[in-house]
Amino acid sequence: MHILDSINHRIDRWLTAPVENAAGRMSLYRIVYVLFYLWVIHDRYHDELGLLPDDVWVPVRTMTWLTTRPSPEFFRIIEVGLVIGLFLLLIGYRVRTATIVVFAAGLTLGAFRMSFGKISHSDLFLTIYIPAIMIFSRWGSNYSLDAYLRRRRGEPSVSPNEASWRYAWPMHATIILLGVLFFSSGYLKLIKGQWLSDSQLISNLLLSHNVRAEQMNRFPNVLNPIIAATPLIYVPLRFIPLTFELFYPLAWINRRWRTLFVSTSLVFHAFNVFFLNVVFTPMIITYILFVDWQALYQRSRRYRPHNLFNLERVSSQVLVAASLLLVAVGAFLWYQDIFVRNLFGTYGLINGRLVWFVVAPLALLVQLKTIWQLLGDFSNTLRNQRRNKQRDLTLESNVT
Amino acid sequence: MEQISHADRRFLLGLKFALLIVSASLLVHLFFIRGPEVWPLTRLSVYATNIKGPGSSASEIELRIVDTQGNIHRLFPNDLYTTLGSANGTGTLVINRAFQEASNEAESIANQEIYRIHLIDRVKTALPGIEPAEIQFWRLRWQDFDATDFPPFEYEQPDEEILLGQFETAYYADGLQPPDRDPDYDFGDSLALLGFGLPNGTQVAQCEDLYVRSWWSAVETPAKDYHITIVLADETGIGRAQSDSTIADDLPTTWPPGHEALDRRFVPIPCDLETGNYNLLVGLYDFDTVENLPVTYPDGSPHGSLAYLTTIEVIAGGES
Repeated sequence: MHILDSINHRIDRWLTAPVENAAGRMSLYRIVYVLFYLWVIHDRYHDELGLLPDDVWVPVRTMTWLTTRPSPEFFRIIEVGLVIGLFLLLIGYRVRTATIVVFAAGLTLGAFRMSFGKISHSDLFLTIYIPAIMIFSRWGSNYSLDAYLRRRRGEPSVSPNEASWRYAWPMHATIILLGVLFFSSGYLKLIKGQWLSDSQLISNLLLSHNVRAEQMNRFPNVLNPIIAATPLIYVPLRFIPLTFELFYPLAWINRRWRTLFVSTSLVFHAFNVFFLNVVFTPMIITYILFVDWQALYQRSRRYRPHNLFNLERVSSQVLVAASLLLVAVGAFLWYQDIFVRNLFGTYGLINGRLVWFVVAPLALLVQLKTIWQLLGDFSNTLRNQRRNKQRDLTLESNVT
Repeated sequence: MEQISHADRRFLLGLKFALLIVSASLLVHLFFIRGPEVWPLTRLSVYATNIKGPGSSASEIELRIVDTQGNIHRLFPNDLYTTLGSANGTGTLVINRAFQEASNEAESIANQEIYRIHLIDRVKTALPGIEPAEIQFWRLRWQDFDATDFPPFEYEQPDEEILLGQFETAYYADGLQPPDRDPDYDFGDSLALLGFGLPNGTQVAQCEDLYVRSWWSAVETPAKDYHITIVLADETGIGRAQSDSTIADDLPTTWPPGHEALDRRFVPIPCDLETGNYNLLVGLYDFDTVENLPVTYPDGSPHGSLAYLTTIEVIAGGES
């Protein structure tokens, strides 16, 4: 019982540890999340799910209860519902309700999307796990219409620098999910794959990718044949993903280990994009949950225009009505495929591969910095241990 | 650790419980659930198993779309859908079914038609502003390459290009919808003919089949499972070729008012049928009594027991 209490106490301490700028960073993450989500779905037309012939319908286990498939109109309505939810989240009006709408719409569309052929995992966090977690979070505490209206009503406002765990716990929940899922991936490689027994595995993967990429008229990698011809690289290379995935739960230890694993995840996905053409771009949103957006925002203060909009003179009712009108117009334009989709799709300037050219070097820098810091921690620990030992020896010799 | 209120403590307990349940579900899913995933639980099994060597040959399918201007546009199966992801095989499946050999039976043709019409729709969506006139299905093959070369082969220079099938989009221009939705004729009190179509045109050769589509609507639920007959009659009114069965191979007694059905019918043209013009007639009859339902115009005026659709020209076999 004592051990269980001790474990419980440690878990409580871990979950309730303060995180710098928790309130502000989570609120800004909400905005980043919405922009990212809209960017990901800007070129998806979900009504096509209602047009697919019946016999390509292979429902996932959770959808086998469905006897008839809905019409294209149903999917368009759900998609518009999703967009309305996202727009509401963006402006921060009725944040919890909007999060529920985003979650429900993402779940519905995802369940149908995954019921035609191969299941994709790349946007599971974006569409399901993150909104599910955020339903219970306080990511609308700042930078939101809700917060602004609360302040007007004279209710106490939350500082964006508030470090309370009440704002930060979604990060802990997410890292737990990541740990379990990466472990499952490593476990499957270890038990069911040939990752330990087949020394040619990475070589085969890289060469197969180049063939597949050329077959699809895409991007083969000039380095792949070179790596595939160098056993010194490809033989040990197969242990890196295996070790990384199996030991992912180490990210639960503390913030530094978390940063190491999160940045390594991005480097890992970037490797998959450039060398294997496996593009998991929607997963980026999961890892950037751990970025201190508030600190970045504060650092960018001097570049930001001030007092762009003076809303103080506008009544709350007018503000809400104008915001809702804006949301409705935005959703209508999205539905009609006029302007808004392209706007959030950056007019094709940033695509799912290009974004990795920015993310990968940044992640690599963070990863190397964290490794350096961990090595520093390790050497400090060793030095302290040695110093303590020497002190003990000195004390001992003094005593004798 | 900061001060924790009673409400916080309850929330914390709920959070721990939820995390435990979710993590346990993921692990149970990993260790104990066999077969397909229980989405949205997942195992992240990318590249866990089935990693094979690159081989020395590869093949890929592609669509080549000939537009009304004669330009050719190329599409991969994955280009057909925006929501299914690049690794999804549904595009390939749809293309295969749209081009697979259909036997000369209504069900097989119907299935192929559904896929072809769907494919035309997807092609139009994938190539906005392009009006496809013909869709071709190609297989490209690259052989005897060395995967350690860069690139292993040139996509634009396949060793083999095989045309697996093609069809003209005009053939499916009606999208399996009746040309107009006003009834042409009423049959008895319960059924109406909404329209008909002849995908192969009004000319047919001896020994071949005349393909007739007809669209039916239930004014009210029919009392019996009436049969349809499509007859090619000569100028004296004698039937020289015909095809019969229940309407749309379905049970009309199960149709609620307003129900619409598409009947596909192949009328075999005898090899010894004289060339010339014939009237294409349609009728509905009670299978037990072999009595035709009376045919009336929508205004109620009588037309007889068979409705005239059009005139068909039978030509000598091998001429079409």
